[in-house]
Amino acid sequence: MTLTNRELIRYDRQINIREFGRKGQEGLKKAHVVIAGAGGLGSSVSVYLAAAGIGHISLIDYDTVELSNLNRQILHWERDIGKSKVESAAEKLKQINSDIEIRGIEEKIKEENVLKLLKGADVIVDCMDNFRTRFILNDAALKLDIPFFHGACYEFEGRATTIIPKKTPCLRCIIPKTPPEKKVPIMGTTPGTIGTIQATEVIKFFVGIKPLLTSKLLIYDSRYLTYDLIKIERNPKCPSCGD
Amino acid sequence: MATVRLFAVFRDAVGKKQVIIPAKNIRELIESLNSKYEKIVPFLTKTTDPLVLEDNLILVNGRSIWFLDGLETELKDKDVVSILTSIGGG
Repeated sequence: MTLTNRELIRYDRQINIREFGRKGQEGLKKAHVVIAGAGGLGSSVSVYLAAAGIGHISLIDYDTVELSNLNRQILHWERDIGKSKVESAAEKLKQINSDIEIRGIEEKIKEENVLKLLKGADVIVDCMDNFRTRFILNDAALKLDIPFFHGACYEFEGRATTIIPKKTPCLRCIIPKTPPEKKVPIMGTTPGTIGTIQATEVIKFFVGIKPLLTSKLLIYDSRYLTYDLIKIERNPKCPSCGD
Repeated sequence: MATVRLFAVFRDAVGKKQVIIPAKNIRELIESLNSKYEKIVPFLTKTTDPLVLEDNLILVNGRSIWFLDGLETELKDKDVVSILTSIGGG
């Protein structure tokens, strides 16, 4: 897949990065990324992936924009309150980059429809706001054998890890039991930082730049402004990916 | 002597991101943290109830104790225990 003159100019700064080159950019152009969730994480992930030139982005969310979303969900503005999140997000993303395909899917992710929703995806980015759907996506990624880029936030804390099926621990290896759902307080900038890290991982994955956040859990604490890495191991007894 | 890495609320409660605690197993380690650091008690007492393990994550050398021996998971010198909450917001 060759790049047009406009694309060569548009992505010049990243094409010139060592290890990137035209081939790397072509890899991004071919890619189909599914972003599950158009909230706080989804806002920053989708902005950076659209700007970087990911050729096909599908954004899934069934929710509508509410006033209480606006402290962190920067793709949604006051004028969007009441509008579907995918419609609000897709409208801005198309203005950020009109050279790529952006598809908004207004559906709730469930066990019954997840495989249909992920059809054709090369990777999934986990930008959800609840454990139940995260685990549905984790299991679907394992089934489809596609990478799963996890991110999550609570108050000042954010986490990210990159899951490669059968090679790295999956989300269930890290969180064996589904925790109870609760209202989540979030410092608005935390999903911005974690979403940027998830987008970085996706770009590096398609370009082939290593190391990735595989078998490592990154923990960002915006109270102390620290980043820590925990080495994580696959669990042979894991109900999702165990032997 | 296990190295204990503490994150978010646990770090706030102890005032440090890492402590060294002598303990034979996770149960002893939690008891020791609870007696040494008063502010950690509201977050860690829950953990001694096996049913509430699902609210917190305790990893020994990167493996959840859920897949090991739970609170009876033995600790050896140089083991690294990470204590975190489960977080799922976005």
